[in-house]
Amino acid sequence: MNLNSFTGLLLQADAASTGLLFRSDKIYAVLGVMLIVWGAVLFSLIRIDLKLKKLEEKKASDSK
Amino acid sequence: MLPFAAFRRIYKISAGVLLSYALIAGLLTTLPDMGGNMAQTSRNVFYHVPQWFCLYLMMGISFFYSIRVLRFNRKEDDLIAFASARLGLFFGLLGLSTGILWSRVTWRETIASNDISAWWGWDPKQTLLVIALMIYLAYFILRGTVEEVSLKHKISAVYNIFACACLIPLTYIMPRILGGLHPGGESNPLDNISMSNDFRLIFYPSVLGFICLALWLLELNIRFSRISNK
Repeated sequence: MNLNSFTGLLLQADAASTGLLFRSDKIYAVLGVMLIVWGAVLFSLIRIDLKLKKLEEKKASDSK
Repeated sequence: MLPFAAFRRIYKISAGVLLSYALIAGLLTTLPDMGGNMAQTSRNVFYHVPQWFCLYLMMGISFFYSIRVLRFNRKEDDLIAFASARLGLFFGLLGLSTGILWSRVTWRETIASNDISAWWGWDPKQTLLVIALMIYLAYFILRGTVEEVSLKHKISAVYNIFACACLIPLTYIMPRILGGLHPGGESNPLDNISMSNDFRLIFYPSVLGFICLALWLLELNIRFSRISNK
């Protein structure tokens, strides 16, 4: 798939139609993908936060 | 001690709730007929603009802590100034990417994708933003060149204040003088149209959500730097 057809698919298929990302009839598919991405980001942030908390507690107990 | 320690839990929950709302409502809301490709692509305003708010917030925090470095010469202040500048740059690159995609389908929709001008049209605001981000990139390079810790903190604090002083004229004042297609520029056809109240109901929570996310990321950055520096 070359750059033209890939970006055309996402942004603008041809001069007359809007690409997948901006077509209202595909909006639920876009929303689904975006929710999965956002869910993964949120999950990672919570995990990092909890890991950091554990490390901080370990450091604090080591320094005592 | 973080200045926003008391609000930690509030902004973490707010980031999750508000950005989920902005994502769902932003993509599902019915849009007014704006004509052309602007019709569906105007949803990007809920995500592209708040990223710039985060950039200004992060660079503002970095500026404040750089002044504190010069005043008190504390390692902790330098750590916060550095972490917030790094995040500011991240949000700047995010805003630039979403802006490039948006401009591709609204301003340059007739140009073929393999033509570089389809992606980059030298709009004054876009170009000056890149210059501003490059000024900040130099800040990170500068930090890597000085080995003596106290000197590194002072030199990078001075440069950071200079970079922040460049940010507003480059990204806000000069684009208004030079014109261009961004709102505020003379050539923008949508300049006299204000945002509808339906848009505001999604736009403001999105701005708040992005700010909460930026603060959360900043907190994680600072905590990680503290642990690795000990």
